[in-house]
Amino acid sequence: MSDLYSGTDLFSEFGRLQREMASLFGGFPSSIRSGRSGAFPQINIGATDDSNEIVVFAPGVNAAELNVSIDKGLLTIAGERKPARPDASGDTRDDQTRDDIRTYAQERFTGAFRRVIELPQNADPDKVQARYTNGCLSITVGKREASKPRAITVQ
Amino acid sequence: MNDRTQLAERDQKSVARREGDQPARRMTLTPAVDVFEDSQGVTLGADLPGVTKDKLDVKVHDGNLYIEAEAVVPTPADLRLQHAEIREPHFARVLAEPGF
Repeated sequence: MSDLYSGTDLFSEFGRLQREMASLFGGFPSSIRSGRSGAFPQINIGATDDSNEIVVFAPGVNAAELNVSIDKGLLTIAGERKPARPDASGDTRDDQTRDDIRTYAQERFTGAFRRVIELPQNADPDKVQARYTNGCLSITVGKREASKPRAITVQ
Repeated sequence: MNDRTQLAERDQKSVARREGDQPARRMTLTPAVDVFEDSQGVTLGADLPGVTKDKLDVKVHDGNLYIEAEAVVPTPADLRLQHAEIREPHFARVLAEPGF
């Protein structure tokens, strides 16, 4: 029973399932296709004339441990978010020994995550930049030169 | 035609009533929070990506904790949004203080 209060996998798994169900059926209107919009981390995707921009909303992640890679037109963002508990400051004691911690809410996602985005044909894998600021991972994928819109002069 | 006129009047009244006391409601996101209590006190963590300290407002009032924040993500001016899982930059959450 102390498992419930020390917030191990059971608690967070139910919480995550509940959140995903709520976002599927009751959340802000989104497209039918985005069945997994409640997954952590959430992403926004946009485009300019020169690049594709992806923003991954992942606060509380160590930037050095984020894995961003491109392979065959697929952009993969993977990492792990460690739980942020009062006793998790370098303390190597087991959670169960701290039975004086009460958990009132544990809604934040913890654990390993991976999101995969299919990039359009015009994405150039050699022109990728990634920045992590304020909990947001911003990825800029340049477009291939030949695919950029070009004005054609009429003679 | 008469129905449309009536509808407009009703909206005007509700806007006038709100102007005096609080800003108009807007779409906000509810951030996920963790709340733990140990012998030292209560620790709260909230997911507020894109929020800097100057855009974060935390208040305690009447035994409730109010969190309001605005996220700013720098993007190019000519960006066309194609897929958005976070559509609003405003976060808000009200929590009752535990133990009361």
